[in-house]
Amino acid sequence: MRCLVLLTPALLAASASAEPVSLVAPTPSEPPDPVDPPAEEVPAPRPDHASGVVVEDESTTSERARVLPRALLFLPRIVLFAVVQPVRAGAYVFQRYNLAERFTDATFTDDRRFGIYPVANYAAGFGFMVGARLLYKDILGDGERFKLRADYGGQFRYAVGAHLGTGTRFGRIRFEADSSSERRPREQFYGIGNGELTTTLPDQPIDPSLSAIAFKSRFQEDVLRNVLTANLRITDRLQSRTSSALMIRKFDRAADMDITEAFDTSKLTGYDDGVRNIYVENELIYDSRRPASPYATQVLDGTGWLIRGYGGIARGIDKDPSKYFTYGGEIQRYFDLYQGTRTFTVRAMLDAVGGTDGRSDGRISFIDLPRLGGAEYLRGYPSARFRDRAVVLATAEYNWEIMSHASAFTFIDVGEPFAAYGDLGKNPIRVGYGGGIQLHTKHTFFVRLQFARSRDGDTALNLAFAPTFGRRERAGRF
Amino acid sequence: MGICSFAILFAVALGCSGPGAVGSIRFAKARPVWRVDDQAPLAAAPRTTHYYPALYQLDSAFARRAPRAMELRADKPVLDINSLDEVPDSTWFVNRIGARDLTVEELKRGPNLESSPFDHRPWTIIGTKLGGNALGFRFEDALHRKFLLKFDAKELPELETGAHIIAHRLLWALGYNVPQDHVGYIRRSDLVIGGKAAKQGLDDAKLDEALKSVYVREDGQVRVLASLFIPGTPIGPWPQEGVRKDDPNDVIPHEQRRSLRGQYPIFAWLDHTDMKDDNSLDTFDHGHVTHYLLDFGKALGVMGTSEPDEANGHRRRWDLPAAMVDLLSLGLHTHPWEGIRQPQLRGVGLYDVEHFDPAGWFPVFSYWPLLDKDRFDAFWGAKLMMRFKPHELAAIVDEAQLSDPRAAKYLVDTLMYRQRITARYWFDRVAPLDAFTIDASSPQPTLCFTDLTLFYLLRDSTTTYAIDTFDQAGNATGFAASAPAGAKGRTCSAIPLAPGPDDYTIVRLRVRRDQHEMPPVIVHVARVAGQKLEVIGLRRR
Repeated sequence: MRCLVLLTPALLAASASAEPVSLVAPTPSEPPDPVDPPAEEVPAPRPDHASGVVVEDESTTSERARVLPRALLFLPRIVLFAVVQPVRAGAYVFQRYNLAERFTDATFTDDRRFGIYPVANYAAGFGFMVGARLLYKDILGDGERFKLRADYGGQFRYAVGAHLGTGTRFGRIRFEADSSSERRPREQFYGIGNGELTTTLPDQPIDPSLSAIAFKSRFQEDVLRNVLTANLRITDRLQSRTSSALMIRKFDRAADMDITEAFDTSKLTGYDDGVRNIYVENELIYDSRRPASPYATQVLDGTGWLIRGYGGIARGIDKDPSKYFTYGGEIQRYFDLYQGTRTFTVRAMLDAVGGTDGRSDGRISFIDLPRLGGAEYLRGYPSARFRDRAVVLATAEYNWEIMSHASAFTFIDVGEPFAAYGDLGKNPIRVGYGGGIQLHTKHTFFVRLQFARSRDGDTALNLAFAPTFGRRERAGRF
Repeated sequence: MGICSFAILFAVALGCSGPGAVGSIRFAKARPVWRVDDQAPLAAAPRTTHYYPALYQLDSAFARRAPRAMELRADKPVLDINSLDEVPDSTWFVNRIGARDLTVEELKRGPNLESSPFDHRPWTIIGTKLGGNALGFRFEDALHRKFLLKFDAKELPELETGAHIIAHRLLWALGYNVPQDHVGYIRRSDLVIGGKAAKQGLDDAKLDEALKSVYVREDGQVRVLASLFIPGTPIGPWPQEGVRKDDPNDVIPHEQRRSLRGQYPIFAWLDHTDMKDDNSLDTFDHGHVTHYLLDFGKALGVMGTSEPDEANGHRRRWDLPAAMVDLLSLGLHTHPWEGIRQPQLRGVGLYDVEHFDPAGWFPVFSYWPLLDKDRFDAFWGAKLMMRFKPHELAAIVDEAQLSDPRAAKYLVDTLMYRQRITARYWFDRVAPLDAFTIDASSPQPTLCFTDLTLFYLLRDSTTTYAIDTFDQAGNATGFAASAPAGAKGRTCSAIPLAPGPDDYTIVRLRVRRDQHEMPPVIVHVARVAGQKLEVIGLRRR
């Protein structure tokens, strides 16, 4: 730019930002006479005959200089034009025919409180899911909510469920009840512990209670899940959450990469007989996370703390041998680096079970062991890549705004599953890293596109519809 | 500003090395045209156009923007100008403050020639407002005139209505067509639900509920904006590009209209970032189409406050190239708008001087005429904008009826400062010489002109003008002179007429300011109809 300014040096001197204008200089009391006073022309010419030009200027050098680049860009431009037309047509049809409103009109009552509507999504590795929802909002006027769901495909062979929330009806206490029945035909199992992944099918099935060798396999899980939760908001930032879950689970072979091909499932607590247990937990949560600036999006936190700790117990029913307790906690700290648009976040987390060796004493099923891996906890590794008596995870993430409605992030997750605290640090520390983009408006989170890679060579591309550090329900989560 | 400025300067650099010293352009030996006829009666109203926000945003962000950028079309000239590089009156634009001084009363009144609806209550609500997200109604006043009714959000008192009125009055004075809009206070009892609205389900309880979300003064009065329906049949927004093909009067592609491209410095001054198709409206009336600007409630930084978005006016909402830069830089570079904070004054948006960059201003969505503007368009707009004097700005701000006098003063000061910053920027990019006259009463004619930078005291620079002349064929006559700037920026210089028919003489004026030479302005002088010597044309280089 500077070399060009040299051609017209006045432009450099004129840079608006370089030198403040004399703001105190008064505007002259009378502006100059305007351009010629308008005169009557009878008749007035057509708009394209008003220039008075009888001989046009020749095309300039700059115009001539564009000829070649234009020719070079012609084909790419036509291709681009053609590619975007279907998208434009979709946007046009969507709005021209008010499809969103028509859909809502067709599926919801006029007051928009009750509706039945179809849903569909696609999950990498699981394929397409279709389903339906029945929703009844604000039932008694205090934000109560009742929802029924039915899904087919994707992660589920089938799933049906119901959810009831009391909203603000009981003031500071909010109750929620959730019940569902699901068949998950492609759940993943890699073994127990922090073993290295092998891709060679072992000669003998792996005894997961003794060996930490990891091998990718799948199994089918049928789960009946009933969860009751009471949320007590003690202060704006402090809340207590008491949850109980009745979980009934049965396991079976998967259609491909079946777990029995690699593992001796008779040594896998709960696999053959299923799991029937009740879990009760209390969690105390201090949450001061919030956007750091009113100008930043309000759906991503930019400052504050999350500190939570929990303890719970599980007991088997109908002769199920489950008997263990859980404990753990998490600390998140958001640092506002600059005006709420650059945020650095650190997270440390421990999930553990006690009262069991986690392997062979039969007190805890493999399905209830703490896990690492997936799109949120130890990103870069596949879901449920690690499970053991305890897992620790530390995260550092940097988030920066790239548009009003988009931000980018990059992260590193460090984690380790372990059976005893004495083992901590003796086994390989697992590291995942990556980044991505999040799209949102000021008040709505749309999507997070995340690419993650592990130190061990795994890669994952995830599409999620919630921020990374949202707080998830714990009871009945597996 | 980076890429755009680069492109502009590149064009300047290349343009300067183009055709001969005064170019090949020649003008008819006639007076400039100040009014065009684009009101030829049409057999039928043109087809109604529609605004589809999702498609519009898609086009703005990428689908149209990328292919358009690949057309390399930046320097298409404007076509709606007269020989003096000015915009004649048309259905798009009417020279008002650019052609004459307006009285303070005229400025305060704006286009509101009819009586105020506040004098004709009660108002009968006939339906809800169509389009937009904010609460609004349609109503008839006691004279059965139809209006749109808008409000301020409860948490943003006086903000949108105030900004709207200020921008509305200014844009009308500048020459644009706008509706007749009034701001004021009403009581709930002034609103009556009409039969049509009742049939649509509106009742007193729903109206009361709706009014809970709007600003109500302590004495119970509701601040409202009433906008009179524009006469004629609405036929939707004008397209940003091209013409209405079924309107034979619409012969100039809209992206080549200076009246639209020249809005850039004006909208930057006013921070009117909400310029989009939906805020323009064509109406079919008296057999032809008239073009209106609408909805200025997000101007003066209100968009930045209501979103809220501190980058408002500095960055497009979906600016993919800029996002790529931010993405790749990991957010390590800071932006000029960061740190801007809301003035704690009722009725004032995110509108300031400190963070204002007159060339780095962007509307929320790409608007092609603004994107296509060049230095000359911006100079035209800036020149118009500068004609408002401080007391006139104060009178217009007073129309907004802001309750806090500090807010009014802040807005007047900020408008004035941004006005001057904007003007100085664009006046530095062309030879800012204006108001050319030629006096042929003496033996040797005298050409006079005003240097707007000096006139408005935008720079305190030593300025001289190099003047030379050419004949109609473009051959130098041998005359060359240098003249120092005169008092108040007005300078006169005797020039010899070139030999040839009707004394057609081309004068090249080069401004030398503090030793720096600016691109020249080429002035064409000739005898009109073989008699009076007049300035018949000019072009800036």
